[in-house]
Parts: sequence; C-alpha cells; structure tokens
Amino acid sequence: MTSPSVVIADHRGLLREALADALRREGIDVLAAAPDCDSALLQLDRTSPGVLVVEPAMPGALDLLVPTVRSRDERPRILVLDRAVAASDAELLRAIEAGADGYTTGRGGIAGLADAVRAIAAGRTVVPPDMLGPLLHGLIEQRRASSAAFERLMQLTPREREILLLVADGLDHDDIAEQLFISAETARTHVHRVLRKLDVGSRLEAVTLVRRHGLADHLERVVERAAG
Amino acid sequence: MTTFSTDARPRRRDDVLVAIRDDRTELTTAAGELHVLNPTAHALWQLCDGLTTPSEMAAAVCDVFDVHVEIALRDVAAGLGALVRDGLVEVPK
Repeated sequence: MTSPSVVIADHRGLLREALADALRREGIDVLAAAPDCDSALLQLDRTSPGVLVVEPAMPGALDLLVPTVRSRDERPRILVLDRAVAASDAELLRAIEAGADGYTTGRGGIAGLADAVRAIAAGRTVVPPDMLGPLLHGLIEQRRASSAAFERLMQLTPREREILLLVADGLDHDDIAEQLFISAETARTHVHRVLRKLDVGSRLEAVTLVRRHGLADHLERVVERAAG
Repeated sequence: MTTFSTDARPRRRDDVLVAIRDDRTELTTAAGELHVLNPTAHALWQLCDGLTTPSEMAAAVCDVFDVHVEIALRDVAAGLGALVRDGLVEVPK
C-alpha cells in the first residue's frame, strides 16, 4: 500500500517542521510544509498531494478550503488540524462548511494524526467522535435558519427582490433609483419595506442574511426570470 | 422493528441517568440497565431533543459524510430504533 502524500500548511515554524518530521516517521510522505496560504497554494500546484493538512489559525487558512480556490475534483482531500487548547464545535462546523473532509484536534498524538491522514486519503470523513453530535446539531440549526431566511425572501415582491439584489451589490438609494428609473425617495421606501419583510435592522444585515444563506444566486435567478 | 415517520420528533427519556466517565457516556435506564453508546449512537442520542426529525438528522449526516440520503435515512431510523428499544429515547405520539 502506498503511503499518503501530504502538504502541511501551518504558520508556526517550529511546530510545522516538527509535525512534518513526526509524520514522516509514521510513514506519511510529506511533500512540503508551507508557512502561509500563498506558499501552500504553490506547493499544491507543484506537488499535487493526496492530502492537505491545514492549521485553521493560520491567517486565511479557510480560503484554502473554499471550493472556488480549487474545484473539489482538482483539490486534495483536506484535513483540518486544530491544535487550539479548546477546539470548539463552532470551529469544526466552520471547517466542514468551508469544505474540509476531516477535522482532528491532535489529541490522539502523532499516531492519531497519521491515522486521520490515512483515513482522509482513503476517502473517509474524519470527525472527533465526541464532537459529532454538536456538529450535526449545528448543521441542522443552520439548515433551519436558511429555510426561514428563504421563506422571508419568498415574501418579497419581484420588485423588492430586484431592490435587494442591488442592495447586496452595494448600491445606495441614489444608485438604485438611477438603475431602476425611479426617484430616490421611492428607492428608499422600497429598501425600508425589504428590510422590514426580512426582519433585519439595516442594509448590512440584509446583505449578510443573503450571503450567509447562499441566497444571492437564487435571488438572481428569480429576478432574471421576472425580467425575461 | 421500530419504524419512524420522517417527521417524528424523538426525544431523550427524562428517566435515564447520564454519567460521563473517561470520555465515554454511560446511560442507565429506569429499569437499571446500563448502556454505553458508540460515538454514532451517542451523536444520534444527542440529537433527540423532541424537535429534530429523522429527516433533518439524515440530511445533516449527508452534509458531513459522503452518503446517499436514502442510506442515511435508513441508518438513522435503525439507530433510533435501537435507542427506543433500549429505553433511552421515546417518540411522542
């Protein structure tokens, strides 16, 4: 059986090198150890590892997981190694949502980490057993929140959805008015009505709601359909 | 075999004693039977809050694990069935 090939992305120099050495001793083929995201991306392109082990505290670490950086087919399997003293359920949820294939706290030592790398390389999902329940619960809560947000979105009229899309694009009242050939006062009234229907207190909250629940694409499709 | 409607809302029984020992959860039923749950069963037991349906549980399982929703639903139902049979979970009518 071939040993899994790995790139490590960790901003802490001494720990990064120690981790690479320790994993090599466990039979893992460590191809590179990168100190930051840019270096990690270069190493991923250069070495095409089976697994990327990433420390989530590294600045921009979760960007390495976002599918837009690399498509799921092209990118390596990703294991998040959270060595924070108190690894949190929220961090795990963030990592899984960002596209990680596994998450480990390192409590199992180097042997445990090597096992996690092998499991990830073999296509399995790794989650600390004691964190599985809270993770599933967090995902369920997020689905419910998204569903509620979607229902609120559906209460908007086609014109209000169009307005919301422009708000999400960062346009102010005057820009919206110009774009839709209406007065600034009318645009302001539309925006206030949208905020009230969405049950949010500001334009920023409305934009956050749309982005957090991935509603922008849906909004665009609905607006296009109405326009077409 | 216990069967579940996908919109049932199973909940942990109030008369079960819970003890955490050495990273494992021990559950003792009202009848005095001791159960030590494996991690998956423990996660499922944690989700039995009287609000969450088997469908929601299965959807979350699919979010984490690369598994077809039908298989997740079947496994969730089987796991819940075992928890009900063991007297750890009840399904309000």
